[in-house]
Parts: sequence; C-alpha cells; structure tokens
Amino acid sequence: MTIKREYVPDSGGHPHLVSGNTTPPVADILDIAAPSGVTNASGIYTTEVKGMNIAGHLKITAESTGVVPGVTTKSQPFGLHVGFNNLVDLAPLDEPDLAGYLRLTGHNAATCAGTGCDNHRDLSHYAAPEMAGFLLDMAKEYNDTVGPAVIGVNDISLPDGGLFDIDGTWSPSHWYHRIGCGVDIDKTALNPETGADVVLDIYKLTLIVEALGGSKVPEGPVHYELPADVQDAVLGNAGWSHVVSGVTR
Amino acid sequence: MTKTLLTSMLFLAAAATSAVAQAPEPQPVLLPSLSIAGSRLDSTVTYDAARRVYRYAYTIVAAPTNQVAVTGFRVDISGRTEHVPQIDPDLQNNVRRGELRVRQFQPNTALPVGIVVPQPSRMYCGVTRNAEANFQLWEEGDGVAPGRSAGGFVLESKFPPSPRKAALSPDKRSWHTFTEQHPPGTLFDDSTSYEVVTTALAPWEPDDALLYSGGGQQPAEVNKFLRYAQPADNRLPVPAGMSTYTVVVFYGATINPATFSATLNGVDITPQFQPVPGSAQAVTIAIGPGTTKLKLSVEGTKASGGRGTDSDTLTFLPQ
Repeated sequence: MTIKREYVPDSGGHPHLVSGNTTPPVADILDIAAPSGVTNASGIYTTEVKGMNIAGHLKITAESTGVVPGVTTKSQPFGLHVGFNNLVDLAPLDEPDLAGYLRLTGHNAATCAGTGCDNHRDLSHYAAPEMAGFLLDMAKEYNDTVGPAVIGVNDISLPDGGLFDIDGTWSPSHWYHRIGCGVDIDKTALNPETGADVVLDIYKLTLIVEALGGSKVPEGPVHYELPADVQDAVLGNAGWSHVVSGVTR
Repeated sequence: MTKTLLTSMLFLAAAATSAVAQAPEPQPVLLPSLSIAGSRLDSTVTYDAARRVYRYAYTIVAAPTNQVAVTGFRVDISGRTEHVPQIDPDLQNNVRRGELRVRQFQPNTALPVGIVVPQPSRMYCGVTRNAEANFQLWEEGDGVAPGRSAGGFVLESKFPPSPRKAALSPDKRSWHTFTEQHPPGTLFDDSTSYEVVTTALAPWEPDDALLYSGGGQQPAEVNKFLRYAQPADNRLPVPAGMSTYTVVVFYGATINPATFSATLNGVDITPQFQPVPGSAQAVTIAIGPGTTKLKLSVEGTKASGGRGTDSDTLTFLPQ
C-alpha cells in the first residue's frame, strides 16, 4: 500500500492570489517516514509522520494493488490539518481600546488593494491569544510616554501559522512569522488628534517592548516578538500541532 | 486500512514539536558590535532608620573601550511572595509609573520600589514584566559615553540588600540604522546581546534558608544575631588582586547596638557599621594581598530573656 497526500487548495492561509502558485510541496506540510510498504498479518501498517513547516489541510488516502491483483483499491479519504492551534484573528479590531490605539495594516482588505500584498489578504493578522494584550500595552505606553499615535500593526501570522511566504513562492521570506508570536510594526503611525502621519520613535518603542518582556528581532525594519516564556508556552503546549478531521472507512 | 491510517495519526503528535526547525534558515547578516565590555554598575545602600527605608544608589561606569554609549540598566527585584499594591506611598518616586497610568506590567511578586532619577522627563523607568527595576536614558545623546560615568539613579525599598543580577544596556540605535539600510525580510544575526550582566546591591526578600549565620555559637538563635547575605561561608577564597569586598550583614531584631564591635585584621572599624536592630547593611571592606580577617561581635537578647553574644570571623583568602 501507498499513502497519498493531496493539498487542499487555499488552506492554511495561502490563497496566493497574485502568484497563482497554489500547490505547495506536500512533503513540506507532512513528512511520512515510509509512505509505502506492506501491512502486517492484521492489516496494520505503521510509520512515523511529522508536521513540517507549511500549514494546511491534506487529503490522505491509502492505495493498494495487492487487495485485488491488478486493480487499484483506494481507501476513503480523511482530512488531516497541520498547523498551530489557537491562533486568533485580530481583525476586525472591534474592542474600543484596540481601535483607539492600533490599526491593522498590510494585508487586510481595507488597506491592501494593490498587487504587492494580496497573497495573504485578510489572513495575516492571526496571533497567539497574548498578542492583543501585548500590543495594547505597548501602544498605550507609547501614547502615555512619547506622544499620540495609532500604531499600525502589520503582518503577524497566517490563520494556522507555519510558513508565511509573502511572495507566494512556498519558501521563507517572513522567517519569524510562524507561531503567532511575532509582529511587524509600521514605522509611520497616525496622529489621532490631527489625522496626520507621524514617524514612530522606534528606539523608544523598542524600550517599551523590552519592558513588557518582548524583544526586537532585526528582521526587516521593525519586528517584535512576544516574551520568551509566552513563545515557549505556544511551542510547548498549544504549539505546532495537528488537528485531525474526518474519518476513513 | 482504517487501523493503518489511525495508527499513523497517533505518531504525528509525538513528532510534531520539531517541525519549526525543519525549514532551511536563511543566512543572516552580521550586525555591528555594540560592545560595552568592562563597564560597571556601582551600587551603594544606606538605611533611613526613621522611615525604615533602604536607599540604593547606582552609578554607571562606562569603560573607555566601549564601542557605544551605555543607555541604562536593569536590576532584579523579584521577590518570593505577593506584594500588593506594588506602589508604596512611603517610597519616594519622581518618575512616571506605568502601574498608575497604563497598567501594571510586573508580577505581584516584584518588590515594591520607589524610583528617583536626576532627569525624570528624559528617562524611561519603571518595573518590567520580568520584575526588574528599569532605568533607561532614552533621549538620543544622553547615554553614558565611553570613559564617562553617570550616577544619581536611586531605588527606594523597605527590603534589605543583597547582591542581585543586573544588566547594563548598550545603545542600540546603530542597529536600527543598520537594519533600515537593508530590504524588508532581511535576516540579521543578533545572537550577541552585548549587555553586560553583572551583580549589584538591590532589594531582596529575605530567605532564612539563604542567610548565612557566620558559623559558631550555640544555641542557634544566638547565632542569628549576625547573619550574612554575602559571603555564604566564613572562609572565602577571593581572586588575587581583589582590593575590596562588600559584606552584607543582617542584624538580629533583639541585638544591642551598643555592644557591637568590628575589627579588620585587628584594627577597629566599628564606626563603619550602623547596627540597627532588624535591619541589614552592606559594608565594603579592604582586602589585603594576604589573608584578611573581619571579626564582628554583638550581644542580643534571647527568647528566654537571657543574653548571648554572637561572634563571627570572616576570613578572606586571596588565591
């Protein structure tokens, strides 16, 4: 028998509207140590599977030409989902507190109508549950200590985490945007009092982030990470995980 | 076939957590050095017996060889039990406190402190999520330049001193400039933090198990009239060339200050000590090239009402 993997299009937050490159290498979603072999006398076949770096739904089937010689016999498919559990969508920002201090930018429909950023439209603000509070504390502290600014929150993670290939190439670009714990911040914010753009003082914003236990990762201009213990919890408890849906018959 | 596939599914969970490391990592760009190696954070502590408040004063000493300015420091003030509220009105404070204006970041186990700095409007101070007192000179050009020093950074606390972890911060502005010269998505090597991790005197929630009795007297309650957060042994090897050592002594609540005496290699240094019952004090003594002996003695009242004398000899052995 052989185990077959088929990617379910657009799953995991990879619509790839611009590139059209909609089929990832399935081995980068799920690695099967021995995808083919012979069952034991009880009809059981055992191998090890491992979630890889791209999130998405897979349709899994098993095929055999040994049940009826010369005829391919297929199992009923079952769904298997590789990704991070528990990432929450920050869009829309409907909490009054959030809306007053933060705005989502980048790959959301309201601000991204061009061709340069719609590979992941509406799907780029999925985050660990702790992210909203972290961003709100950061923004409030900045407003209180530096000056009025509605801070632009750019890419975080895709709905199920994993590889965030902003170029639609199934290869790394947003290296840190995998587990909902890293966020890009726009260098320009909105002054809520004047409506004008203001340039953020990134040095001061970073000191605030560090006081909150976070850190700045020098990936691109402004990228912050949640505190290390939060990331450990995401990786260790809720982390890169799997959701299995459906059954086979 | 059903059993086959379900068996496979069970193995998925066991192997799942290593997935993030599977993708090939792009080669990072090396960031410029921010070395501030050799810089120090000097600390002294005094005790205001009337207010029962310890006042910790810090001075940043930037090494002449620093490649960037030192912009601040953090000192561990984590405690063992909860302290609510975190703001103590008895403690002096002249900085904006986020606990009052935004939200408390620190855990309730942080020790309540007051923070007093020379130019509060030009600094970012407070207590961090990791229970550190945070002093940052955040206006451009305010950092402590190589070869210079800056002091007047003060913590007030009702908790006694102990050597605690501290970290000096380098000015990272050059990293911000450097990274902005590269296209978005560039990965940089920031594996070297360039912080100088050291120790400084800072508030500490006393733990009887960690206080050293100095050895010697019986019964045990007499031996607790003088205890030490530092050193932790009465025979202490010290590095050759070390010229000073800070002893952190805890005075028992029932000691008689008038009976206190201290000698260093036979020379009376009693005036250097202020043995207030129930308080603690950090005293820096000179260490000679040979063996140095510090002898402390005090009389106190036992629970029975009787008196006893605790005498300790701390011996410093240059290696």
